[in-house]
Amino acid sequence: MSVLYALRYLQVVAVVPRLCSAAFVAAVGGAAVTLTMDPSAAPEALAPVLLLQMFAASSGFAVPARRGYYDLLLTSGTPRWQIAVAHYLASIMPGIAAWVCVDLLELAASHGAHRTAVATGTCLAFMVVSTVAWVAAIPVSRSAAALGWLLCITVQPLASLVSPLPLLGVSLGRSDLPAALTVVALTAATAAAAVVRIMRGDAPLEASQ
Amino acid sequence: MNDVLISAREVSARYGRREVFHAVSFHLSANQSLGVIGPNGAGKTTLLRILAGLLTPSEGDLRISGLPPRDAVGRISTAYFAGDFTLPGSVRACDWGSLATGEVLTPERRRIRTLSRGSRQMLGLRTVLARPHLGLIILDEPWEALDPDGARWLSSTLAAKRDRGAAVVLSSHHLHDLAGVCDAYLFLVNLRGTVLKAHELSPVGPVTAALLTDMLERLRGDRTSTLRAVS
Repeated sequence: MSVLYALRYLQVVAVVPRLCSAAFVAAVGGAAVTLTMDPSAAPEALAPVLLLQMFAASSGFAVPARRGYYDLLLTSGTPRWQIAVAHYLASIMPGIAAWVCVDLLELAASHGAHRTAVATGTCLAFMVVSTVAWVAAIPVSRSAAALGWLLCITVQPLASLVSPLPLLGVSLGRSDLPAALTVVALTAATAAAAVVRIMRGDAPLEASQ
Repeated sequence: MNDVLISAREVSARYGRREVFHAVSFHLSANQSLGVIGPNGAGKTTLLRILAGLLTPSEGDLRISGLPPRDAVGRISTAYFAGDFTLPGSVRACDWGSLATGEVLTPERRRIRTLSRGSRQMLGLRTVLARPHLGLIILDEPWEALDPDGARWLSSTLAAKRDRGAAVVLSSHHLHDLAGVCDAYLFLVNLRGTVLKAHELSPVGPVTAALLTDMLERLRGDRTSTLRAVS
């Protein structure tokens, strides 16, 4: 059994609920309308996709594992690190697909004149949001994570400090590089810690505790 | 004599401060089956999850083919099923069935939550038991909610898999399901584990549910019961 089996398993158990996937489709539809009217409005069109990604990638691992939903996967012989990687990919993939769709829409609407959807700031925002959301939700339920994100993006001054929205469409300059690299390194470190947590973590059945 | 597949020495489990069981020891070889018996909360599910590599014992040493259980599931094809409630309700039955081997186990397209409890149990059992070359089968209350046909299918499938070399560990509240099926019985009572081989329980003839019930009652009433209790 391999990472491909884990990906198929996690797709079958719908790590990202179908409602979230439908929301991404709606966000891409909205982006198509926005970009048709104003091809330079990609940052505005991407904002709902980024916010949805915050909730979609917060798929949670421990809670479904404690319900026994991952028993078949965890006893399949697939190495735990591959299960963790597959869980990460399955959690972030719908949001990344929506992001790519918006990029293609921007490309088509502007006849190749704009690519703000893949500006360095946008890439950094999507990478950090996807990863941090996945990592933060590993030990908690999706609803608990959603509650946390709602507080983060609405309560001031926290919201203005952590909101990734200002990064959308921004091309980072040389002077931003040290800060951006630090953020990337910290994000990668938390992702590695989350993988280790899944590898070593127990999955006691809720009913037997 | 068969090689020992599972070797548990002084294995203990706890959730936080609450001790579930203490210093449980047993051995199990391939081609053998072990029945785990005990009252509610005795730690049967916990022990089975430790064997499946889903939990780590708080103390003691548990080896499967010489490896910790979590590593062993990568080497030995393992079937583990904890009951119908562990199946995600939103998944279609046909999709779940295909997760064992990729082949279609059932054409049923309804979502799992809409199936009867017995159908869910059968789906879960058939899926894990469809894995090829099973070396270890761990089933928690497998006969629960099955109709007589399903129960007969399960018993015959387990016997066939065991005869082909699998070690089988089962737990059940219904002692008549386990009676006569297992080569040894592990009684989890009062935090302790007591292992009795079938011939120790019943030197003549098969082990009956009445014998298992009697032994369970004896162990419940006597915290220091050991093997000597039967002789």
